[in-house]
Amino acid sequence: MFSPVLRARRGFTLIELLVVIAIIAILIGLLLPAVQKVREAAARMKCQNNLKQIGVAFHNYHDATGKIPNAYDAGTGLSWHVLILPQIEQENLYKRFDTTTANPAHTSANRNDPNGLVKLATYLCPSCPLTEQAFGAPNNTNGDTDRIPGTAAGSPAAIPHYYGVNGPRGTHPTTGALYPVGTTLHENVPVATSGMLQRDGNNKLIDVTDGTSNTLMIAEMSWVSAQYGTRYRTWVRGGEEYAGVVAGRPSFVVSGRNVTNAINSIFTANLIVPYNDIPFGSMHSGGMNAAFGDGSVRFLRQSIDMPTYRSLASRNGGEVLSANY
Amino acid sequence: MIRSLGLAASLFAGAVLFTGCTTDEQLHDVSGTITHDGKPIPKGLIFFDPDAAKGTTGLQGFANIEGGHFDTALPGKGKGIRGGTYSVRILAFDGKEAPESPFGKGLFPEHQFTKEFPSQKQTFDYDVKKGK
Repeated sequence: MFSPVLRARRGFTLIELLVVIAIIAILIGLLLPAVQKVREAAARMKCQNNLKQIGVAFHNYHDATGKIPNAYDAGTGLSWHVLILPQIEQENLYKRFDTTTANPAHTSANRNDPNGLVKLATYLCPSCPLTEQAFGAPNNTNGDTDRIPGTAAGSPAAIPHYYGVNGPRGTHPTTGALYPVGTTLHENVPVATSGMLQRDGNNKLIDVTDGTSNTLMIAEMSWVSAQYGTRYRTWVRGGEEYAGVVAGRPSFVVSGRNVTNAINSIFTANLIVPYNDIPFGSMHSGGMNAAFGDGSVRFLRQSIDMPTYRSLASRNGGEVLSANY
Repeated sequence: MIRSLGLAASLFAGAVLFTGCTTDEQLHDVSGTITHDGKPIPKGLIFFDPDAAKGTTGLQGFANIEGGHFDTALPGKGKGIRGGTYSVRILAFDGKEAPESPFGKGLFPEHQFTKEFPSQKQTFDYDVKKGK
């Protein structure tokens, strides 16, 4: 026979309930950050896929035309983002562009091109929430003339998150000499000329004497800085637009950047740097993705040795690379 | 006996849990005054790029120049250096903020020179001569 004491219905005590709730809370606490990590890992992979597409498109462009795309077209001022559209299966969008008329002045050119409102997923890193030009305080850098059309009533342009590598600016790690740069300045700083993407010339893969697998081609600049950080422009615009090649030009490139400053470091410090020198970087933790000349995509840590980073940016410097990057 | 063993074990576990990894290398802060022809630079930047040709590697040091003064120790506004030979770059602006020129007009083209820095906290003053 059961004793009546044992048979009586007995509920949970307060302590037991609290312990169970605490255990559940701890388990959720363990799980939630992991979910965020997985989300970020997925975004990073999607970003790497975008860069891979761009890398493959560059090689297809090279096959079709015998050269890699210029940083931008010296005549029309259109960015490489536009030039490779047929290679990323956006032929229909490409047909909407005027690819023949020269833009003689650098004052307006492509910044108000209505095609600049089109957002292409291939050019956007999913980790970066900013997909169009920022206006207003504290970004005191973009005027209404940048809108499409260029009035206060215009819409902000879509921006790209991937940029060409103009080349390194600074000292060569072996010779100590300064890397070659253009002769004209923008915000006191010239454009580097020893990277893979240049405005001028028929640049072939064979000209990349450092080896395409050792040379940066496209890298991320996809971040949001609290102050002044959003110095983005429309993805259509390539740079200082001049009809034809002028010696020493361009003074600035919109579709590319110099490798002058460390990955991520400057924007986390909320510093503003000259336009050509705005550092590459991303919202991924610890570094950024980059496509190399051979089309491979690698994650570059922000703690990369500065001389190594510069060496990777030059196409013909003859630097010896250490394996540690 | 068992209690002291338990205490020792928990102390050890605590030590393992809370020590963590310290891979950050020792960086030394640099501060000082940058002038242009004797006058303090209103707004600018100073960079310290390791000169690998002289055997110095590592990260880039940098700081904001405001009112002629810079300090890499300002939290989040700069980074110190390891010590060794650095290529120093100075950018200077008049500080009159405007659309498309958040620093104002440039005072002179980027000034660059190479200098050796000791591996310690230090001050560094420099005057950019006019016409450079």
